[in-house]
Amino acid sequence: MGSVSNEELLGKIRGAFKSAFDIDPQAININTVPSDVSSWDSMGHVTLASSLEQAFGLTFDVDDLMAMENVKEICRIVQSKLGQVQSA
Amino acid sequence: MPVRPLAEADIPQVADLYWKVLRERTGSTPPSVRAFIQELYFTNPWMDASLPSLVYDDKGTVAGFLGVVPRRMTSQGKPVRIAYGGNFAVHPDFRTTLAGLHLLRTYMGGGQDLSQTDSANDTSRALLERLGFTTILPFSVHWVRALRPARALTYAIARVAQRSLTDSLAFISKPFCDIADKLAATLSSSPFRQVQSRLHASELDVDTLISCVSQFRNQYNLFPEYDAPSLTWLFSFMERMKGHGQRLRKILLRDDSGTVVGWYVYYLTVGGFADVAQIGGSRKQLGEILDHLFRDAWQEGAIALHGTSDRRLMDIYSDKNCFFTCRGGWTLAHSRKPGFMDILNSGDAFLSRLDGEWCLAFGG
Repeated sequence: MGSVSNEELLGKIRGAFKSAFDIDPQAININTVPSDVSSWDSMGHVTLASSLEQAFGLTFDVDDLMAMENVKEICRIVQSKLGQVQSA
Repeated sequence: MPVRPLAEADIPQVADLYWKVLRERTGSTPPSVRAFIQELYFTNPWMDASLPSLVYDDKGTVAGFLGVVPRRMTSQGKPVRIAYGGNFAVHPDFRTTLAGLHLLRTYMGGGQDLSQTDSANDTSRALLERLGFTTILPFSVHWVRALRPARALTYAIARVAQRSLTDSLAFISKPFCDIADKLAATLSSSPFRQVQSRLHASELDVDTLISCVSQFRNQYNLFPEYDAPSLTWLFSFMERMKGHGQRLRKILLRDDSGTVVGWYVYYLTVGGFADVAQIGGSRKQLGEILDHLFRDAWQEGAIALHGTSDRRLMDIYSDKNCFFTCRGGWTLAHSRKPGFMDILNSGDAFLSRLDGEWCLAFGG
């Protein structure tokens, strides 16, 4: 997972959710899905992706965006991207 | 994935989505909306089974809809398949399914050369840009020309102010507006003066329009392919649906020798802004064509005209006291094939509001 621990990763993801949806970050856990967050619709998803990009200094392409369908997948994609950045 | 092509059996649910979500209406959906959806998506003359409209099906419920209308164009001698997306709606109870993203992604992955929309609002624009669409600025600039400037100003204020205030304002200001607008149309120093055109007008028929477009379009690298059945259907559809006005005016202009110099098509709204669908003709004579259009719309009772600009001709619109704005619907496009985006971004296309989804609106 590179230099970011699981806890740090989830913490940053929670921060991105707070920034995107103005919600209590503690409400977000690894099992959170869009239906758990009322404003996590298509437009919200795009806003969330931008917040995640800012939080991690990454860029997501459209395939990443479509694959990030829950927090578990977001973690997987962010980890994978961070790994790519480290090995580059 | 629950995205699939629209079927005729979906029409009632799609019509409900259109009425309640896109039009923000309450109560039962009028039968005319179902007829509109049926005609637009199952009888349009450009139908192509490989470029279908899409629904997001959540266990039998149509949770989202994206209408797709293919249009045929030509670029550098080769046919171009354009899929125009529009009437994009997701049921509020299903928004967290991310149905909108899935619909757009499926649409973008279709077999078209270009995915395009010509009437996106700010929200759709942000979503589409994130998915890889580009805002095409040359086709997102709109021109506005006041014909009755005092009433146009009152009308513009009415759109941003409270209803009670504007009703009073309209009532109190009407006598003043009538006088001011009369002066504006007649004083020789007025920028809004109506001039008598030397051009001769007649009704523009479909065959003549096809001939006109084929004569003038060759200055561009991308242009629409018109034929009589599809244009006949389109004009009939526009006249019946009244998507942007009360009446469609289609005018052909000739000079004294009988030579065709240009044409225009617009939706007339008496006492409101008239929306121009297409203006054509040579650059040299565009000033006269515009003068004719302004006078025609003024005589018919419009208070202002509004249309999309052609970047190559903006200086002439400016000379005719039009002003420009990007508030009127964004044109966005996406293509996996190189070249098309460059053509669009450079404004090197004869694209009008007759060629996209704008003209396929429902006004009921």
